[in-house]
Amino acid sequence: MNKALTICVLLVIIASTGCERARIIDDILIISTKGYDLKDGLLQGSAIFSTYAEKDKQDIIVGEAKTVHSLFMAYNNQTHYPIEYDKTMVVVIGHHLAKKGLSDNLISSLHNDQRLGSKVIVVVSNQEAKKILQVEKTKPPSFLYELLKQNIESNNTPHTNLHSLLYQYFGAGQDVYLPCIKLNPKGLIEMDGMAIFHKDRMKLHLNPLESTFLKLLVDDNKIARVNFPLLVGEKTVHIFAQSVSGNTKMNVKNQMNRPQILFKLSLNCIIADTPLELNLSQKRDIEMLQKAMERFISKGTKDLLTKLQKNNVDPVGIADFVRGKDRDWEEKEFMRMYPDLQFVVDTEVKILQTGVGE
Amino acid sequence: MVRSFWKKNNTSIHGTSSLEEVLQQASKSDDFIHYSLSEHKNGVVLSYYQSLVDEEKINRYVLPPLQISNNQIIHLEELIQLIPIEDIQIYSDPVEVELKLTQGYISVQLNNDHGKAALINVQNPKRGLRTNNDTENEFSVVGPKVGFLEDITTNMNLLRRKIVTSNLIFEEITVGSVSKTKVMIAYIEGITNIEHVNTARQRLQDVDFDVIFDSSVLDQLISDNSNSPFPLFLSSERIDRVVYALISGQVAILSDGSPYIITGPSTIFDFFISPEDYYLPWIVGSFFRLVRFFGVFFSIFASPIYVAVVTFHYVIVPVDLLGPLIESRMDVPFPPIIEVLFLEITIELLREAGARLPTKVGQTLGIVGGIVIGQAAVAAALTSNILLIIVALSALASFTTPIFKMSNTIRLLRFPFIVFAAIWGGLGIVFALTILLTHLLRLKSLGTPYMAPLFPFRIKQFADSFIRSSLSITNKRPGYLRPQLRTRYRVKQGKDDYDNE
Amino acid sequence: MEQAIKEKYVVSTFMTYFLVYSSLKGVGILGFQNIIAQYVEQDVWISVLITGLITHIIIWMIYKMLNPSKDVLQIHQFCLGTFLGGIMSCLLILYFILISMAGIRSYIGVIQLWVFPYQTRELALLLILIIYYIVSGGFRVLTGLSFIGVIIVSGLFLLLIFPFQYIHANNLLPVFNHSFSDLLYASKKASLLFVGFETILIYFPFIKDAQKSNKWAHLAILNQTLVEVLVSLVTIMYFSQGQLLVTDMATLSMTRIIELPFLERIEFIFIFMFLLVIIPTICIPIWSCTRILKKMMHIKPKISLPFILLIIFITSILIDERVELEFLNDFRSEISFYFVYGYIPLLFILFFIKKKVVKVKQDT
Repeated sequence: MNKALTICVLLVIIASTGCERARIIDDILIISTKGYDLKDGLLQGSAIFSTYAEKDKQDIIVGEAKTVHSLFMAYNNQTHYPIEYDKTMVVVIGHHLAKKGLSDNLISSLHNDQRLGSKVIVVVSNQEAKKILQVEKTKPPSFLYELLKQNIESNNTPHTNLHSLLYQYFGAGQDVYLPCIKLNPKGLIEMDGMAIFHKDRMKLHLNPLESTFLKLLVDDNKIARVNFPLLVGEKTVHIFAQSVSGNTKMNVKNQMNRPQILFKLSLNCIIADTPLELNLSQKRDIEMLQKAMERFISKGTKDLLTKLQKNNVDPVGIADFVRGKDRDWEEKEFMRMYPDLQFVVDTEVKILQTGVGE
Repeated sequence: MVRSFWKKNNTSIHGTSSLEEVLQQASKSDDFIHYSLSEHKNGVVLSYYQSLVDEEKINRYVLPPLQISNNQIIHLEELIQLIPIEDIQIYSDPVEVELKLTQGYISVQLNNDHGKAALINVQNPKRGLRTNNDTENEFSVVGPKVGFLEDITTNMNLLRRKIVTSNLIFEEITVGSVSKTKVMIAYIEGITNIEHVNTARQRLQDVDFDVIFDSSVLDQLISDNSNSPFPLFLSSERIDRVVYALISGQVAILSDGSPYIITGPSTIFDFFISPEDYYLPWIVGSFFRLVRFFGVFFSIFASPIYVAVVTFHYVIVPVDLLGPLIESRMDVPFPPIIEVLFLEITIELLREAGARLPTKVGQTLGIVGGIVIGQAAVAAALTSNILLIIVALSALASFTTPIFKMSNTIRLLRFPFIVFAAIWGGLGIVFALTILLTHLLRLKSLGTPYMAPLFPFRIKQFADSFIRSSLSITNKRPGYLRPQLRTRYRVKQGKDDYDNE
Repeated sequence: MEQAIKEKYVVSTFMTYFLVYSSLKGVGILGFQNIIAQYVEQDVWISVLITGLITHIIIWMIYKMLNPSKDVLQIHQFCLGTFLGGIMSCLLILYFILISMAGIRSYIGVIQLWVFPYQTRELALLLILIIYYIVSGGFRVLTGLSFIGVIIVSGLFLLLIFPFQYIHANNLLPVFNHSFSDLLYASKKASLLFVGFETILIYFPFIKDAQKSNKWAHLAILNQTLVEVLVSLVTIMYFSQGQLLVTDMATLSMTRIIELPFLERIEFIFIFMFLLVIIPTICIPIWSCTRILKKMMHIKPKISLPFILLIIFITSILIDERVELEFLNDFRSEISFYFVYGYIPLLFILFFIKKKVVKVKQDT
């Protein structure tokens, strides 16, 4: 009996400490999107949270501080509930900050913080992040995240999330690439290609078409949409193609002391918007389409690779691939060889369907 | 560990006395009749408790022979030939006479010899007892609805009608110093492991208690661990359940005055088995059994998980669900733990109140309580509507267990989990789960582990636990009862039409 | 001197599998990849494989020793004489206390890091109370909890399917480009996955038909080797090398990517259910301590258990800082390594020498 009594007393003592650490869900503010900008040497942070007073209403809060976590001091100075950022879904990095470099404390705060999930998508905006967030504030909750996710899954954006960001940042032999967003002239958020980083600074911007080629190269998910030109008679028409699945193979060959990287892309596509002059049940016409598309993609990819080579960045991960093949691979040595690499791209397109009925 | 609180002590109410004193003591009560038929030296003296005897039997079978004999009886032994009642014996031990008188026997003495008495059984077993039992507490749609009654002889009759073999043995023990209840241990010789019988007999003999109100009291007195909220003996009113327990190799204990028969050793799975599982095809039966298990888990864990998630771990909830959750809690002024306890206690109050009300009022109150109070509570922003759904569903789910005692345990188990969840969140739930699992592992029922066949793990004995397997698989008895005979019946191989086409 | 353990305390032979397997699953499996990768980068799985295979030899040695005698205390007595044997057995008690204390403290450390910075004392106190209830239930309860722990950890292991979508098989290449000495040193570090089964030296008599149970013990070690090699492979393919070197708890971090329709952040559930997995690794050494005290000094377990728990509680709350915790874990890994891969073979050799000596004496 005495034993039970002591246990109860002990339990009550330890139980009484339970109340202070509660984070009851209606007593906190949950941030869903964060934005970081550089302003006068200080980090300017903005954050969007949902107020559940009305349905689907969101609000924005802005603060300035020297480091990422000190921003919470600034935020909490203005809010009536404590800020919780565990459910952040998108992190928007302003243009200037991206150009100046992420590593000061942004990368470490993203990496070491157990409270963020790995699904967080980091994007770069071509303006101030605050402005993007202010537009997003007027949209339904998780609009930006859904926009990005939808584009990654079935449009032309390569797959990125926090895990891939850290993978590329810390991994030797691959450079970080992040999606870009902008505000279009109507004031709406729109996808704008990719930002390629070297170490932690944004070095290069790829336009949407180049991003598509990047996606076809690196991603396992090959769903993408392109428009390719075709010479029919004397005029050039544009045909729409959507690739649904495919495969990329990369290989290294040493040709006369000049290493050659071979890419073999196989894509399965659906075609639409073909002109009436083409008769798609004719093998000859189909082959013509195929060849045109293959040429288009091969050329585009090779141009992309050359552009990357000229800028000395490697988001495709060629260095990492060579590391796997070469036992004595050294990163610095490879980067010296990088400008001399030759690229050969070979595309094979299979046209699965050509749209509804003739 | 058997508690030895109730070990047998010498606590009989009377000391030794003579037959005269016994009759004198009995006469203090006004319902004791004591008179002599005639003053002749061979006349007889009758004594009996009027409240216990059947006057019909006395008028028809006892008095006529005595009156006709007309003082010719010299020895009491002649009565045995005279009186047409089968249970008649001669005693001189005052203790036995007192026992028999209080059980409804009539004592016949000769005027010239007050040292001996013949005791004739004129009991009226039916007075005050009901004659049929529809087992409303353990209802099943399909299957016989006959249940046991309060009279032990009727119960033995019902059992013998189902188990038609002389291997069914009943052993009688008297338990209870004041109630002197007749308790029978029933088992099937050749199937039941003799150790279970010995343990049960030993424990019953060691019991020292005054009145055995019901077999549940016996259950607590002889159980391995009376501190556990889990029932360690299976108690049932239904004949088919007890018969099934007996033929599996369990021991049944019948108690006079109680329609519930307890069987042991039982495992935790026995409490989730319903007779309907066996009357429906095995796939249907297994499905509903799985639904029952799911109901139990839901009932125990739903409210604690709500408390843990809402108080500490909002991160686990997907964003789409987070909105409705927060909106439902917007105006509630209490922390989630208070909210949950408030609703749970309300439901328990409704249940307790509903159990005591007469049927007609009870139904109305159930509806009023459930709907109106629930809705009003949400409208007054005392609770959130999501929580109301969770609590109501878990209350419903806790009633899916067929055995009443187990559903009470499930009702109770929820509260420690809620308290642990409110203090430590998800970690608290796992702490409480560890304690629960350890407790279950330590439990034994009549010496057999409570968690068999889950632990000790025997893969061949799962045929009747989580699912009810087809009859072609359940032809062997489960081994954790260690029966003497493993095979129940033989299985014939089915004919394959396709090969013979 | 040694009467057989009574029937009602003995567990079935195949339970040895669960006992040994659950004792290997400590907090170490959550973050071992980082430690080994510092030496061998993408060849982590090779080191794990090597260590696993060597452990089979150790198990074989144990079974050879324990076969004729009954448990390790008698072996100590046999090899080293009564006095020195007694000293070694007492050192065993200290060793087991170290293991349980490190287990408790490192689990609390994981909770403090990933869930909430609770105060060490309150979690330690609660854990100690629960452990008291468990250990006082006897060896059968501990075996039951091992069984449940193995089932849970196998279920958690299935979660590894999710990171499969993100793996880069190229990370495994080039295979085997580290020197053999590097691989061996990394194998030493990998030993933290394979220590913990030493308690079999104490609970050996509690297994029914103990001599026949060696196949189950070997099966458990084999299973652990396969599982951990698989986990290492997935880890290497999931993280880039540089990323792995800065990720402390690789297995937990991999669970962050899992997305179910009604649940996010599965790692919380993973950490919470992990309590049921490590409870056997803490409770069985404590039980072994009480058993050694009972056999050697005839102290009743009911009295020695609260003492041991008090010692563990006090030492756990003395370790407050992260740095101290890391030191404790390293210290525990080192000591376990030398015990399992150094002391047991030594004992084995002594045992056989002594046996030969005794035989020679008997013959003359």
